[in-house]
Amino acid sequence: MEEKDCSSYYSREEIFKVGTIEEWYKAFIESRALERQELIAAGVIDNPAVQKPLEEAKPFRGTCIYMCPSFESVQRIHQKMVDKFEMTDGKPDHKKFVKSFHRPAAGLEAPLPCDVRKPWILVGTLHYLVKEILGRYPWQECQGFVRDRTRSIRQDFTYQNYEGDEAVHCTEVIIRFHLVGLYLLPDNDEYMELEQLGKSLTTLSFLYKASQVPDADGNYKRFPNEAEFRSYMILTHIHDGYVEREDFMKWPEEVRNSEQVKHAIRIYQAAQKCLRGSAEGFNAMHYANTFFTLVASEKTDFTTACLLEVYFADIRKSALQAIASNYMKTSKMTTLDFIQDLLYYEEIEDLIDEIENYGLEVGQNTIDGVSYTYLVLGGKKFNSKFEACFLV
Amino acid sequence: MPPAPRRGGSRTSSRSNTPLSRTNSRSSAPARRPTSSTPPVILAWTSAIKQALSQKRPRLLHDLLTLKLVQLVSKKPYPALRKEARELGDRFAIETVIDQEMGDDWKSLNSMLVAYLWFLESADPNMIMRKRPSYKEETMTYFSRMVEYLKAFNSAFNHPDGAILSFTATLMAKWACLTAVAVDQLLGDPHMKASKDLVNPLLRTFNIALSGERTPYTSPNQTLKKAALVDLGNCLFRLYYKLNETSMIPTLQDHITAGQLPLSYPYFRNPTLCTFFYYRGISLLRSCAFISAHQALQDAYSICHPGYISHRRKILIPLLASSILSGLFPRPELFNRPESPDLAELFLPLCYAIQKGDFRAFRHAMGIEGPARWKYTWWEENRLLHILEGRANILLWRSLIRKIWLLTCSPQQKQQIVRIDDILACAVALHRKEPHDIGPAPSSDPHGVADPASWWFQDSGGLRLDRIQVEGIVLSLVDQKLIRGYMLRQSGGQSTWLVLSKTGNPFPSLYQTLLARQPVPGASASRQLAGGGRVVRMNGVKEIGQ
Repeated sequence: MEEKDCSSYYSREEIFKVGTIEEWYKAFIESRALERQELIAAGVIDNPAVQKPLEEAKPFRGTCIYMCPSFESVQRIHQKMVDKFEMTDGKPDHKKFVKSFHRPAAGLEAPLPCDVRKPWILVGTLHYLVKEILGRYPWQECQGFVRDRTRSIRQDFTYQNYEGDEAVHCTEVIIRFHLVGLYLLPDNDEYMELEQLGKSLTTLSFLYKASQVPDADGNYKRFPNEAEFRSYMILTHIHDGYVEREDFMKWPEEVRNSEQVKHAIRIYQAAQKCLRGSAEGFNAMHYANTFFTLVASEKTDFTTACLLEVYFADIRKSALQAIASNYMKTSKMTTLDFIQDLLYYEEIEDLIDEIENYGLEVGQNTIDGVSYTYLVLGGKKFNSKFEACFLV
Repeated sequence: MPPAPRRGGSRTSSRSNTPLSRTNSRSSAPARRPTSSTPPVILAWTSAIKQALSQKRPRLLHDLLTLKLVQLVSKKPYPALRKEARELGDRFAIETVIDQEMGDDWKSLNSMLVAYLWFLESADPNMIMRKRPSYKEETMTYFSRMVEYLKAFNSAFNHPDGAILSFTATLMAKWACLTAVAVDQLLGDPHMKASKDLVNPLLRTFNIALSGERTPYTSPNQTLKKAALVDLGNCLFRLYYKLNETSMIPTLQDHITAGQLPLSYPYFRNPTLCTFFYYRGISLLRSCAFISAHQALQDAYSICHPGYISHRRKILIPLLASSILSGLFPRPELFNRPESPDLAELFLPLCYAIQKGDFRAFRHAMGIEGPARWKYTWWEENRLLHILEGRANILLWRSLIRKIWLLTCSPQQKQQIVRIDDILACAVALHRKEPHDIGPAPSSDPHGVADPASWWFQDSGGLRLDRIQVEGIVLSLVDQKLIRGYMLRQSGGQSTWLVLSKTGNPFPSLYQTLLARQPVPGASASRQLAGGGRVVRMNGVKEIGQ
């Protein structure tokens, strides 16, 4: 059976101009069941009722040439699940519809080819999201929408088991989106971004494996941005032992010797912590000031800095704990100015907030008529107020 | 439970030299009815199996269930057994014959024997001789049936009487691993699908061996499922390292060491123990647990036969790395051994650099600078580059500070003080590149040269050392108890002091310091295991639906 796009059953223009949405929704429900049977009979898609080994599964290819499949467009209008970015003058505009993410769940039918977009459409959809949505609306307003739609883009590639250049390009752009999101969003949304970032990097790592194997002519495929994203992979696993476990010899030489990867490894090494009470993680550097100096250096680009900001609180906490334990207890010279410089706090007030959050105190002192604030050591024990709530 | 073997064939093959046509699973032709009499070789084979079971002879049982391809195509009685399996036609006929001969006492064993004969049927000398071009397809069929056999084996092994199969499990895992690796090489498969397909069935075998019985392993002659555990683990480690999916390895190793197994000869063979300790040491080295890695690799090195030079070298390299990072430097006599003639050139300069706190010598030893740039590639190929770079740095600082202390403090001083500014001055001098190491253009040097006159930190290309950075580094040393003392800031822009402890050695032995961090035996129950896996004992739990 030839590939066809979803407009073969119903014309896209006809759907949104003639008849009511309810009528079209019912028509789609009926036609989809027929279409599924036809496609199974023609051998285009697998019959879910027949078990077979995974190796014998038919390759699935999407045929949709719109940003959102017609059925979903009708369904969402019918169910009144249209996002504001998909409306014009308060009314649903099918030309702005973008397919949303559908969590695969037991009992739901497998998608049809007309529900899955072709790779080149996915690239166009992503560019639309970046230019027309992110480029026009405040980030905080549209970030959730774009995150959901980019997740759907990745899902469509997964359905088709597609590993081509379009998948690499889209995954790379999506990763950059998540990285910037880490910086622009409030901290309580960080987890969701990190989760999607991790999944996207895992996908990209799999796609990059094509560079490790020669093709039929003995040539190795090269990805122009691989060094950049390998550095993100290193920094996303800063506390996972990634550098020690990874086999760098499998990476292309120009990638593992690139400045981006080497700079990421330096930051990774500076951020390693000594795990108290653990028999692992020996000889960790844990050079807090070096970490921040490397982050502030001109070799750290914006997206890398967005990622590294996630670790600031944890590294500062460990450093404050070390300062509280290892500077002379009776001294009044452990000034906040020094700690601010050591740990690269932008404002002294931020530092004071954190010090008090960890149960420590600040004091005032004057030497030669110059007054300054210092960290009081040997008084209260280092602890976060959150932990203190649970201590008996 | 793995799925029951499929009736009918799985893949078609081009062989047509049998009197009966074969069917595949999708053929619409009806299965041929088996004859009532069992073929003679199959009859003798099943009788031998019954004898091995009744007399509890695991080695005899293994001899009847070999996976070694060379034996399958050339050693009696396998060629004849294979011929009869082919003549039976299809799997259904084989099943009927086996059920007829073996009875109903142990159904899963019957399924296993059926799967074995079905696997044997696919063994063809052409896979070795490669005279016909179909050898790749034949090899793929052979391997896929081997995996099916493994799954059926697991069902039989899981039986309460399955301990008699533990010796077979050991060698089955070994030959299956070798076959998977060979298949991947033959097909040139970058994703190593054959190795991946083998992991889950072997993992199931491992779990069965781990949780199979409660009898402790107290005598080398015991027939227990857990006697196969270490060998199965070694096969899995090999596959995981090959696939570079090492997250499960610590979990499996923890299960083996926590299983109260006597990890010594004669309970386990020396090659088995050597391999296990080697993989254990590698895994611990990658977790930067250098003391434990040193102990495990030392055990592996001690057990390894002196005649196996390449194996000893393979163990010695990470052993030296873990020892150095634990503060144990090798004696020069070690490098006179046959397995380590060229290792002196690599490891001794490293030791001297760390001992002296000489950052420049360290860069030379790692091949980052200096005439011996080939060392950089060598460390990279042996996967020690980043571990040494990242974990030896703090030891270099420690040694440097100790030298400064020895030079600037006398024992008569009331307070042993080292000034941060002194440390900074020495470190800056040692971080400068020598003129002949500064290339004419930054791009020509793969390791990066920024400002030739700059004093920089750790190959960062222009990132300068300053007082506050050095203070942060010293703080880390004091916090990790690698230097005993405390820090004291001064007023008026003066240098911060590092005040060293007056009692005892302010620079305690690194090895003793790290050793003191080792957990107390038996206190690891609360430690979370990576990979999320613990085998759960299901004895006494009701099945769903009961």
